[in-house]
Amino acid sequence: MKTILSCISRDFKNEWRNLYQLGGLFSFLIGVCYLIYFFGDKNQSLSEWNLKYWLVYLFLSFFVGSRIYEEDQGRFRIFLHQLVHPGQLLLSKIIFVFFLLTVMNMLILFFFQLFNPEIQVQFFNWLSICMLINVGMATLISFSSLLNSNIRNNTILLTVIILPISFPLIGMAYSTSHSVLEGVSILSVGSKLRLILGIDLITIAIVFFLYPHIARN
Amino acid sequence: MSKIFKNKLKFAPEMKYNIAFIMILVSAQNMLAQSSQSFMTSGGKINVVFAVIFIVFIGIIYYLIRIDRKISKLENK
Amino acid sequence: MQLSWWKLLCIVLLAYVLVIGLVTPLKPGILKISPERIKTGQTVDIEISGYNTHYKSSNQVAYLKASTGYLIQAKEIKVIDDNNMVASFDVPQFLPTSNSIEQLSVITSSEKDGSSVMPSRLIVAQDSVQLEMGKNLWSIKEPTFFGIKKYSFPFRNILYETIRNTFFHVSLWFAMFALLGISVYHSIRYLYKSDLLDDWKAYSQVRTAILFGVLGLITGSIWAKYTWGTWWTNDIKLNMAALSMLIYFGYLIIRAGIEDPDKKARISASFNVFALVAVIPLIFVLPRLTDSLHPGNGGNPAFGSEDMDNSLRMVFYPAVISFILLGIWLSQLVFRSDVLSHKSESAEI
Repeated sequence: MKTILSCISRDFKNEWRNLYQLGGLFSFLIGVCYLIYFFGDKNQSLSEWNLKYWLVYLFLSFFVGSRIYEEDQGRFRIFLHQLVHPGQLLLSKIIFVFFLLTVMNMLILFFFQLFNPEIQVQFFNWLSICMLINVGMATLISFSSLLNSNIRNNTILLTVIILPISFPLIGMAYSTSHSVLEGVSILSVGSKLRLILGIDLITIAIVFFLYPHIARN
Repeated sequence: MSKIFKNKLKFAPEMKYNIAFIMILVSAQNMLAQSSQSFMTSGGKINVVFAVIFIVFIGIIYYLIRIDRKISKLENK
Repeated sequence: MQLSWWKLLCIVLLAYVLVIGLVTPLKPGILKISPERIKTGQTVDIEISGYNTHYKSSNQVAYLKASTGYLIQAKEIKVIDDNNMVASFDVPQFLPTSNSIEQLSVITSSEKDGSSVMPSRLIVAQDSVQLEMGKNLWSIKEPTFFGIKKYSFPFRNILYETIRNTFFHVSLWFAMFALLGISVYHSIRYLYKSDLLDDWKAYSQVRTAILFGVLGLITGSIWAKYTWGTWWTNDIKLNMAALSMLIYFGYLIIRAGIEDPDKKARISASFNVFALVAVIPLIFVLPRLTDSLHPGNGGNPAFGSEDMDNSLRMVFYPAVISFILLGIWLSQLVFRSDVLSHKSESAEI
């Protein structure tokens, strides 16, 4: 537990030291949101708004995913593996990505609301859906990043791998958030939430079943 | 046994044939589309069934030809 | 070549499926009626074109049936030839329904052809609604239905003969999933035993499964063109199937991207396990939640009594088994040629 916490804090410190990377991510986020506002239809429908939200989310999450195992390359990696169990490392990465994605979600929501204030979003419902999606997404991204760090570190390859696999999650996110946007209460979309939870659990289970075989050297 | 695996596997030519195969199938579809609708729908649409069987057959034969080519390359060595 | 029992079984079953699946006739049915719109209070002649019917050789009875269960019988039937006849009905002034427009089903019945139905195609309009009068004018007596003894496939509107594609299109998907399942078994075996042969087996099975999947998409597309009218609909099951193909193309890309054979085997084996787990919700869970044209999805019943009857099952199950065996056979060929090529390469060194 202590090692996991220290790993997470190491990740945060790393981000803090390379603040320009994080800053780059967020300025990209703002830029995309603004572009969508600028070129998009000003009075757009709910489904359009929703689709744009999840597309921005999807592509930003690729950005996040492409660099989480980046700094742990080469000799440092062997050193790291002596100190930390790879499972703990993976778990810490997942938790870190989860935080990053949640912050990102809130930022996207903030800018989307800023540019399109007429769309009503119930904040806590939205947050709970986002967090539920982020659990699965963080696991998926960390796993693919782990895979990718074993291949030639190639971001395009990563997107090729993640894009189809993340589709069930993003599709469920879209349909659930669409019904929430339309004013359906969060309790009546319980079956969809349960399905997302199921996908999350399956993803986590399969990732923790598989990581020892990938991480071993 | 470990010696066997030191050679690199080459995928490029196989991929090329795959792409050619898919292109042939797509063009076959286009040809079907251009041929008259009445031909496919006549006789209770029995020709659709024949087209489907034909494509499955072609696909499997294509796969067999690829294996055959691989094996004959091995024989030539 | 060793011809072991399962290869023989595969050949025999394939031959059985091809012969029985193509030779068995469809049940007689109604292909077309004209006119499709009539008015009440007239005597109408309805031209009925049948498929696989023998109108000349036995006595024909024809009915019009409303959705409420009331029906009228044709007063006279003129048989033109085996596939065409004209039935004239005295359509009463009022319909036994509370709507001014009603869709009637046409039923024909005879001892030789059994009963066939053209559901809700004939549109009839009435000037004023008189429910009680309508009920008096129409009768509720059940028509005499005849069963058909001969072994035949069910006749479905729009599908017609393409119902036989169930054996060649649907069983491709079944075989694909069976192959993927077997390959995942080999991948897991590799992860525990580290025998590279297991990984090669998984690889050959995945390639054959991809072949089956691509063929399934193409044949499905052709079938869709002549039943739903387009090569590609936005149907969720189609898109999910295409996506799962994309995931497995990702598998091929990963294999091509890694040089070191041990690492290649390890990572692609774990990706294979992951891919199957990702594909299962795509094909089996998500389509059930939204509308779909496929049976078994979005409220449509699964292969229940609606879509499959016993005559189809007698060919469909052998078709699935034979395609699975064919897939195993093909992937075994690929696997053996892979092993041979690696052996010869190592002999050269």
